[in-house]
Amino acid sequence: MKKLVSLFLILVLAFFLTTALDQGLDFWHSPSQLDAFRMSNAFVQNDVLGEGGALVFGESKNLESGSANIVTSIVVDYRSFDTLGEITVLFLSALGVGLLMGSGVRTTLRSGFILKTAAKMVAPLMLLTGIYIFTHGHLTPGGGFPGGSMMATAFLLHYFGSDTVKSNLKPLKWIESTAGALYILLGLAGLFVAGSFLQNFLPTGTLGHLVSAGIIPLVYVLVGLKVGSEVSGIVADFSKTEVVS
Amino acid sequence: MMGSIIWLIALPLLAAFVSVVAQTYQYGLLVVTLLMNLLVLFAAPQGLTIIGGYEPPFGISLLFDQYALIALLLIQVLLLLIIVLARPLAKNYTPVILVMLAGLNGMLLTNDLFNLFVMIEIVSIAAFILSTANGKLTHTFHYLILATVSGVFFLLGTVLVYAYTGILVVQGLMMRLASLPVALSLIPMMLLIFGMAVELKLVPVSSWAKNIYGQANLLTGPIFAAVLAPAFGFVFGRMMNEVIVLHSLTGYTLLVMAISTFVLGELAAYRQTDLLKTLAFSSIGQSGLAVMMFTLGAPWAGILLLINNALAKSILYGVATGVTAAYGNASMGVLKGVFYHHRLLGVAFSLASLSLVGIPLFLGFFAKVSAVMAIFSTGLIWVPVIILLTAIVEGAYVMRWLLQLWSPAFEGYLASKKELPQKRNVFSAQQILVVGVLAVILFTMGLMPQRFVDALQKTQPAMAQYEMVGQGEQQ
Amino acid sequence: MMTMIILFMIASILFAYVLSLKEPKWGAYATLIVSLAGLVGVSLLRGSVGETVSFYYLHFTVTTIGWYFSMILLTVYFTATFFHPFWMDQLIYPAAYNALFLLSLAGTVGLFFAQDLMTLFICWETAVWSSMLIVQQGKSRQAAWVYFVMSAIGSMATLFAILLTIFMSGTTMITDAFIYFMGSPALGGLVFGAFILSGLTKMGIFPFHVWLPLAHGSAPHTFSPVLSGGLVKMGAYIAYLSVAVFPAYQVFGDQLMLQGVPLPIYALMLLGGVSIVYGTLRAIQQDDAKRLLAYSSVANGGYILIGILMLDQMAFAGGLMHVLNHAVASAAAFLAMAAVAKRTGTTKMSELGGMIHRMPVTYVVYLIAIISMAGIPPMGGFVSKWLIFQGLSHRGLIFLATAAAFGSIGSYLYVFRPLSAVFLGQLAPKYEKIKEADPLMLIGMLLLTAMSLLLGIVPNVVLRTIAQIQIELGIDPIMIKGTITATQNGSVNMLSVFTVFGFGFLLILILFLVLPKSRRVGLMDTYTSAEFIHTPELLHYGHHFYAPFERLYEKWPSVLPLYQRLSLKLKEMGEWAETFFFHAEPNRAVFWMVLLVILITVGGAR
Repeated sequence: MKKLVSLFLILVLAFFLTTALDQGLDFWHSPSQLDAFRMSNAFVQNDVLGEGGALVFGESKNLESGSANIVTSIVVDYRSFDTLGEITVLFLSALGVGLLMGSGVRTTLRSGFILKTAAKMVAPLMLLTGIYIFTHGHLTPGGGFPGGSMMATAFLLHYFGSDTVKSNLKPLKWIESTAGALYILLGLAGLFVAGSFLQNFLPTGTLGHLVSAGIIPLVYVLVGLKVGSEVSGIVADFSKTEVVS
Repeated sequence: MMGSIIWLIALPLLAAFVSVVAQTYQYGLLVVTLLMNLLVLFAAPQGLTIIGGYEPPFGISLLFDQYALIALLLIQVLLLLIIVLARPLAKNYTPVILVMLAGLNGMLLTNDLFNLFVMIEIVSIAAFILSTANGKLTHTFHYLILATVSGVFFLLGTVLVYAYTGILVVQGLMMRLASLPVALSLIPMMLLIFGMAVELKLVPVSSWAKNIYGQANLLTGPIFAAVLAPAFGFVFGRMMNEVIVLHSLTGYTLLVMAISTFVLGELAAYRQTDLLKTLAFSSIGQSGLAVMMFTLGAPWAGILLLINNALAKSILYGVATGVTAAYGNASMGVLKGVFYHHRLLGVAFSLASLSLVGIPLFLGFFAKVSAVMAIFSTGLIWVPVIILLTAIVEGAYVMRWLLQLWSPAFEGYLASKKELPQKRNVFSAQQILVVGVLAVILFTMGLMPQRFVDALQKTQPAMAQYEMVGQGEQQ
Repeated sequence: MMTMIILFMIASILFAYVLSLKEPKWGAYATLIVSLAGLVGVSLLRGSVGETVSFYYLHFTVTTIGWYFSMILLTVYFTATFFHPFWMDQLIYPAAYNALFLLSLAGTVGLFFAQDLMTLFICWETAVWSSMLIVQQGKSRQAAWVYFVMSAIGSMATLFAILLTIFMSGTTMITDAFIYFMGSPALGGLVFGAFILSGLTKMGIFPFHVWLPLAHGSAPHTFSPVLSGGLVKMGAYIAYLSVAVFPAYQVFGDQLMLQGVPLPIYALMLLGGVSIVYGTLRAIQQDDAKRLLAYSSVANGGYILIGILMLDQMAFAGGLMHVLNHAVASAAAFLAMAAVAKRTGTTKMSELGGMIHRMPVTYVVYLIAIISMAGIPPMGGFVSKWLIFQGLSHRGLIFLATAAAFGSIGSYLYVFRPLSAVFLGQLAPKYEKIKEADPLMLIGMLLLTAMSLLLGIVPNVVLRTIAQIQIELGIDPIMIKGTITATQNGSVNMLSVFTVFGFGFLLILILFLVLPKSRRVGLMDTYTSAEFIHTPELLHYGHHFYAPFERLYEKWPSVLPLYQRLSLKLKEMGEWAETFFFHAEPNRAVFWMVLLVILITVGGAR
């Protein structure tokens, strides 16, 4: 009965929320049919500062953000501060897991032959794909977070697939720490060079080239490394058992 | 450049990332960061700071005004003193505290609703981790669930606000929202309010505080009651001032929630026989009072209440958790007469409790007076009656504790040294000094209330669009 | 002058504290010197009425009534300090005692000189909490707590009234602010009722009297006189403010009039009457001398309240004078009991007896005090009670006059009980070796005794000041001429009354000296000649002195349980809140959150 009531309440709430959202957001029309003065148009056109100019892939140069991926330009350029916050959230979660489980005893899993062999072959490939994804974050879908997670998955696979994992996680910590610190230093460099924190102070190049979009690729590499090392750390910590009250 | 307000967030974050690998210097890093932050606070010019080079509404910006200055100053100073007070415990949690500091500063500075959500999340997660220091993981888990649900509510509210107005800039968002039809703006407003209600400890969702505050130790007690609580209070004040449009329905709901938080919290505190639990419910009650002030459009009274409560609670929790740890138990029977051995702590504790109750000569009195005066101007004459009646209950239980803690004597007999509990070591000289500094700050503020209140009344932000209950609909 | 007094007070509090830390006795002497200096300083302010002084956010002004009340309070504080040096070893925090004693002194004096309402309240509360922290150093924490809570009920009501007044009238000056309520009886009634409540709780008027026997009875012996003689009189000042400065008679001008008294004021007077009767009856029952005196304070508080509320030529003057008379008499009686307690270690009447043989001076002090308290000529208490009677009978307030008469006669019963049970009768063997109180203590007590006598012989010294207060208020002043005190109903010459009584006293003294002496019979000198007596105190005639009364009272309802039940109810409500709203399970909270959002969405969409 209790569960039915909860289900009912959740459904009612969901109904109201979807109706409310429907009144605010237009899901049913293509972007070109929407109000031209909406704020998001400026993001789409890569034209927040109002310098104008058409957006042509492979040709437009020195755009304000310079990323071919709109999502990336929002996440790592226009609202880069939020991303800094998000990696901090992940950092905190890793810290929390470390504090709770870090002092526990490591358990070793026995893994089968197939897993061991496959892990040896697949894990490097996964690692490579992960690196690819976050280095191309400004060009293709993906970016630091998925890329980093993929790296962590590779680590997990490697972890399952080998009986003798080195318990020394110091390098992971170092990567995590350095990447995070570099992100902030990059932001501060923006403050000193261009005048505001996390500002894109490098030339943005041509839209669609690998070396373009200023600091965006750099940030995404750092984010990828940080996320990868952090999630790996979490995985390693979760494998410990501790008796807690 | 060097005086930019962004350092308040960048510096603790940088320190946090570095501290993971530099474990020996962690604590020093924390202290240095806090000291640097204080310098930045005084050096930074007031105004809007843009991030990433994009003006609002396109980019994220930080708003540093008098209001933010007061809140930030309070939090840096209190956090600095608390980590010195609880040094052995703080050492284990340094990176968390650093990140929490960055989150708190971000939360109080940010001018973007989504960014606010991110910062609230950071602070909440840091708070979850800190609360594990109490050693009761079940309580942390309950807290986590509640705070997460409310986080979802806040996020949904933000999404709806963006959907309806197309912007996320906090400053002046109220004007846009007020122009929406009532039925439309009601839902995001309610979601945003409930998104903050858990951290504000408002009544139907304040149950977590009973256990988190009530089992606190020397680190978590002061941090929760004197840093996190006022920070969320200040954020709520900002939201009430810039974002949330109250209609009669939401306004009265919020008012009823705030009043019942105050009354029920104090009533529950009245029956406690455990010092920490008493303080926990008192924190709940006081939070309700501050929320009431912000709801009724009297931010300076709310600020005064928050400051008074933060300073008083830092002392009360510091001393209470200290003696609890030393004497093994927070019950009335065990702690009876302990202040005989710890006179200085006792004096600081008494001062803080007198101020908490709002007894004249102390800051709390002026906070209470400005609260009641502010409510009179809204015309709600029955609210002060409730406040003052509840203040009697509050005074009653605080005084009961004070009398018990000071006097080792049995009822009906003169006090003699025979009944004294065995003296235990509570604090080192350095820790006593910290408590003393807090007490002196509180006392000095009470000595010059007029200047203080005047300064606060000037802190009304540029958008002085206070919405009284029931007036939102007219727009 | 004012500034100097304030600065002196602040400095002396710190000084007394530091000195007491070094050596409590020195601190005790410091309180004596400081209160004497305060007394002298304030007495010099008599000429500078109207002078104002601002100190930070506190504003003071010298008024005649303020001066009058301050002098009374300072006298009581001063005489009590004579006892301090002997009590320091009984206190667990002597330094705090001395500092808080002076702080409460500063608070009370500040209260009487307050120019604006905020200053008034700040001084009031300061006096309350500092004295509460002193009371806790006595026998009971519960008593201190009850004292604080009862005071808090009053002071929160007063704070409400004060803030509402400031908000409505836009001014904080006591003399101007209340004028605002002239035209609005409903709002004025609310403010009047709330404002006077702190006075009622402080004076111990009937339903709020519960704290007096507890606090007076278990406060440190040196502080009970200050509580009863001094701090309770703060309530009288509040009563004065709420009827004389608050234009109560004008605001309630169109209300139902009972013998020329508006209904709300008459209701308060009735409460005063109830207090007289209730306090008297309860005082008769008490076994502890200090509790007995506390209940007598309740009764006398009733007289003072009625007198002040009358705001006329006679009863008002009587009320104001009774403030002084009762302060002096009550302080003397409490101090006498303190002296006895110092020597014997108890204030329970059933354990004492025959103290006159060992402490004759203390006996005389107590005797004079109770004569004044019972209103028997030629002591000061007679004059003030006589004036109150005059006023009541002139207006034809028959019920109140009856209550006052009842209280007067009843007071003979209760003041006589300690006299006989503590001082008269035979001396218990365990007290054979005790000595008279220390000379320093005797000085303090004899000062009060001399005042009681003087107030009876030449009451016009004080009535002159009261007449001036009446002139300032614009009511007919009490008529004084030489040694004659006159009212519309008649006049009395206290000097001749004293002469008559003096002759009578001399006559009896001569007879006592001339006639053969009676043989002293010791307590153990009984018919149980050969048996050993284990409980000699049972043989004293003061044991179960009013046994019939005590049997009579056994089934009487008491007020204290009502408050205890209220406290219990609050705790039950707290428990209910804790289980219902502060339940540890988070799912309830989530349920509430979802439900409220849904309800509001539905409500808003409608």
